Amino acid sequence: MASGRARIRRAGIVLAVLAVCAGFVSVPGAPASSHECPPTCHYDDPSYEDALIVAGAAVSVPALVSAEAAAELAAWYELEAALGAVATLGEAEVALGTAEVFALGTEVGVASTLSLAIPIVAVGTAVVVSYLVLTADRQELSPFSANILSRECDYEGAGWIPQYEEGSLWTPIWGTPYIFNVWGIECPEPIHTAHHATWLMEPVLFKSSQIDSQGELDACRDWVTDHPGYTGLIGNDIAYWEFQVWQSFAARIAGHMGGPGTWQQQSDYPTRNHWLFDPGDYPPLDPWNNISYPSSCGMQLYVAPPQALVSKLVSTPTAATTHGPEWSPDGDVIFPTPNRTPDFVQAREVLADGSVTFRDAIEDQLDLATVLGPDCEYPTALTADVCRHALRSAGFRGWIRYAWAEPALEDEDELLRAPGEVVDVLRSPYWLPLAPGQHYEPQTELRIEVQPDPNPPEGGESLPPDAPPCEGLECFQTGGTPSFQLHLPDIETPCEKFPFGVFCWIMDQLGSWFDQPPIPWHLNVDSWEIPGTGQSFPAFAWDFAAPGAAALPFIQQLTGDELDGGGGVFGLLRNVLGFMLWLWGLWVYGKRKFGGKGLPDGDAALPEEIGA
Amino acid sequence: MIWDGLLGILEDAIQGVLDAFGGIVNALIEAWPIAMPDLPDLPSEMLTAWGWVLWTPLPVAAAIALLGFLVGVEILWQIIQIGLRWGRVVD
Repeated sequence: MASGRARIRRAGIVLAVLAVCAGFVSVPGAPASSHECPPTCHYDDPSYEDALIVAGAAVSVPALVSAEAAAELAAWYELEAALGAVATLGEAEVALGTAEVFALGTEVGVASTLSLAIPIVAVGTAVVVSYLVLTADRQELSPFSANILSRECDYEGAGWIPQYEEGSLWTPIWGTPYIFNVWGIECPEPIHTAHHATWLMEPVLFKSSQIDSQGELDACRDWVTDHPGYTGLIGNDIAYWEFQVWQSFAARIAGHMGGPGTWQQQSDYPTRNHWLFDPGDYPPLDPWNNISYPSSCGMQLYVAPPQALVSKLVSTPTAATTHGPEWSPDGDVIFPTPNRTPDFVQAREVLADGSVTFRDAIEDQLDLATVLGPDCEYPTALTADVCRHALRSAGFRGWIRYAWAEPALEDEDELLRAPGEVVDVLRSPYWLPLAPGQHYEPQTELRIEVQPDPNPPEGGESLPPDAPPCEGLECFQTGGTPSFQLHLPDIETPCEKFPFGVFCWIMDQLGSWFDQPPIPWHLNVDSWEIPGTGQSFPAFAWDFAAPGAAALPFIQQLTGDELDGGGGVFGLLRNVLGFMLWLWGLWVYGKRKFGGKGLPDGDAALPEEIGA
Repeated sequence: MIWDGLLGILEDAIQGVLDAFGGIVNALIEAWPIAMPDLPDLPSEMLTAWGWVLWTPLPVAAAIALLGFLVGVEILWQIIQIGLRWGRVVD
C-alpha cells in the first residue's frame, strides 16, 4: 500500500504540475471565454474539461465527484483532487470508491501544492529581495549604454561607473552610496553617475577610455584604474571630467597621428579644474565630428559639439607651437599649426556656451540613457503604424503593443479621434501617458491605444486598420488592458569571460565557415626557380571562372551564370545528393535508435507467442 | 476589471522574478573574474578551401542541416528520456 500511495502521490504531483502549466499556457492571448478557470468556476464548466484534456486525462469530472463535495472545496483544490483521482483510477489494483478517491485526491493535491508552493515562494522571495537589494535606486545607465560600456572596457558591473579598484562595485542602496566589494577592496567615496551628474560620466568614460586603447586588451581599464587622473573621478570632480573630455580631443588634434587607433599617449595632468582646451584657440581645426570606429576596446563614439561659423582674427605663430602649462602642465603636447599671418578668417568654432550645449548634444545625440518621446497624440492624428514608426525612430527599443482604447467619454482627445487613430501612448510600468519631449529609457515598454470603431463589423473588432502583424517586439492585443504576456529577461552573452567565451569563439569560427560563399576553383602560382638549372618556372594563374577564361562557358553550364554553385548542373547534382543524403541519414539514425528490433526475414521474425 | 488588475499584478510579479533572474545572471557574468583570452581566427586559407568545397556539387549545406537536425533530435530525446525514466516508462 505504501508503494501505491507513493505512486499516487507522484502521479498527483505530476498532474498538479501539468494543471498549473496548463493554466499558464492557456492564459496568454486566450479569449476570455475559455481556458480561464477562476476559483468560482464549476465542474460542468467546459474549461474544466479543457484543462483535463490538456493534462492528458479526458474524463468526465462530474462522474467522479458529487455536487455536494464540489461545494465544499475550493475550485482549484477540486481540480487537483479530481486529477489525483483520475490518476488513482488509472491504477487497476486500487479500487476505491468515489468518496475515498476524492479524499485521497484532496490529500495529494494539498500535499503537492504545499510541497511545490513553499519552495517556489521561498526561492521567488529570495530572488526578488536579492534583485531589489542589488538594483534599488541604482543609478544605472541604460542597458544599451551598459552594453557599450561593458564592451568598451570590460568594466565590471556593466551600467555602472567603473569601479575605483578592480573588483569593487559602486552600488548605492536607497540613495546612499555603498560599495559591494567583490575582491575585498574598500572604496568608501561616493560617486555620481549619469543620473546625478547628467551627461558627464558616461561620455567621458568613452573618451577617457580610448586614450590608451591600443595594444593590450585591458589597456582601457588599466588606464582608468592606474592613471592618477582617476582620482579625480573618484573625487567627483566634474571639471576634471570635462578636462578629460576636452583633452581627449586635444590629443587627437595634437597628434594628427593618422587614422583611428593611433591615439597619442596622454600625458599625466596633475591639475584639476582646469580647462585644457579653449576652442577659440583652434579655429582652423575641425575635429568635432561624429566618429565611430572599432578598435581594440570595441566601438568608440564621439559627439560633435555645436559649432558656428564666425569671423575671427587669427594670429598663429609660425611652425609648431609647444603649449605651456596653460595647456599641458608637462608642456609636452605639441600642436602643429600652419603658418599664417594675422587675418580675419571664417572659422568654424565651438559655440561659446559649448560646455553647456555640448552636454545637451551628448544627451540628445549620443546619450544612450534616455530617449525623447515623440508626440503621437492629439492634436497629431496618427495611425498606430505611423506612431510605431515614430516611436522606433525616437529610439524606443522595447515592446510596443497595441490595444483598443477603452471608452472614456470624459476624454476629450478620444472624442476627437477617428477610428483607427492613436488615442494614447502609455508607458510601463504604470501605464502613464508618454509625455512628448521627455526622456525615457529606451527599453521602456509602450502601449499604443487606438480609437476603436464605434460600429464594429459583424464578428467583432479585429486589428486596427494598419496594425502590423504580431511578431518580434510588437503585438496587437485586444482589450484595453495588457494581457498576460511575459518576456524573457535580457541576459548578456558571456562571450568575454572564460570559459564561456570558448563557445562563442567556436560559434564565431563556425559562423565564418557558414558565411563563406562558394569560391570557384582557382590557383595562383608564383614564379619559382628550378633547383640546379638556373631556370625559373613561370608564374601562372589558373582560374575556372576568370573573366575571359577558355573554360568559363563550360563552367557556367555547370554552375549557372552566377558561378556560385547555385544552379546549373552542380546545383541539380547538389539537390539530388542532398535528398539522398537526408534519406540515408534518417535511415541510419532511425536504425540506430530503434535498430536491432526490426523483424528479420522469415517466420523466425515473429515472436514465439505470435508464431505459435 | 478586478480580474484584469489581478492579472496585471501577477504578470508584473512573474516578470519581476524573470527580470530578477536575468539581473542576477548578468551580475554573475559581470563578476566573473577570468577574461577570455584572445584566440586566433580561422586561417583564411581554410576558409578559401571551404569555399572551394562549397562550390563543388557536394551537398554540404544538406549535410550540415542533416547533422544539426539529428543532433537536435538526439538532444531532445535525451531530455524527454529524463522524464520518461523518472516515470518508469522506459528503462
